[in-house]
Amino acid sequence: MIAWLTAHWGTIALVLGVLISLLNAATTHWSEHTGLVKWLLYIADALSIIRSKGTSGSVLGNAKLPLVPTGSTGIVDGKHLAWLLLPALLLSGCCSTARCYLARGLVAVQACDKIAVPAIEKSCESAVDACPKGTAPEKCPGYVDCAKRFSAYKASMDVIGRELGAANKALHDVGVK
Amino acid sequence: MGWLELIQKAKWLLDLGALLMEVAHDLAIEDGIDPAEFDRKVKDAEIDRAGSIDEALQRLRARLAKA
Repeated sequence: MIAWLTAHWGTIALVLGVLISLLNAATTHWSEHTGLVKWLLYIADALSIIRSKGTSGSVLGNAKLPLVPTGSTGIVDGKHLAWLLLPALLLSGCCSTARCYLARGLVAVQACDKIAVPAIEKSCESAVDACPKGTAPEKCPGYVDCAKRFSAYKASMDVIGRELGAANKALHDVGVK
Repeated sequence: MGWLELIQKAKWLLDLGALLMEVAHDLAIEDGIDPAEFDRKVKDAEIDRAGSIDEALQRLRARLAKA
């Protein structure tokens, strides 16, 4: 089964790409939905090379770059899609040693920073814009909330990094490669 | 979607491509990392994280001043 999938991955990707594009073209925009359907349509929109129904405009407006969801309203930013690609990258090759997986985990943590920090900042912009011009940052609820989100994110990722380091040291000390 | 948005999306794709290439290169690790080296990488990541968050907050404060 795995050998067959490996041998035919190109055909499978092509068929899935066409099916996803047709699905996206036949359905309404993901921002018009809620819950799981919204997320599924968001992913379909991101992977589709055809825009979803009802979002056409000028000739240029019909251009659709793959991996970039159309529309700016909603809960997600395009960069969130990269989160889906990270596990695929992590699994793209098997390690020859156990501690290699910890090293790859650290790479994934660093990659998350490059995606998550700009994504949090982007999502904060509208909250900051809601405050009157010249408001002190500490008196703008949107800014204060964003600072808390950044702080929570940093604390979480710092802990994950240190735990990976501790696990690496523990395994090294008992002779695991 | 106008030209500006199209260019922004193209830049986003290029940025994402560059990031994935970088990650793929870094993931070409086959062995574990020495604990001291691992700790150094963790600390570097923490410093980079703090720096990028600080820069993001500065941009938000500047945006608030101009909002």
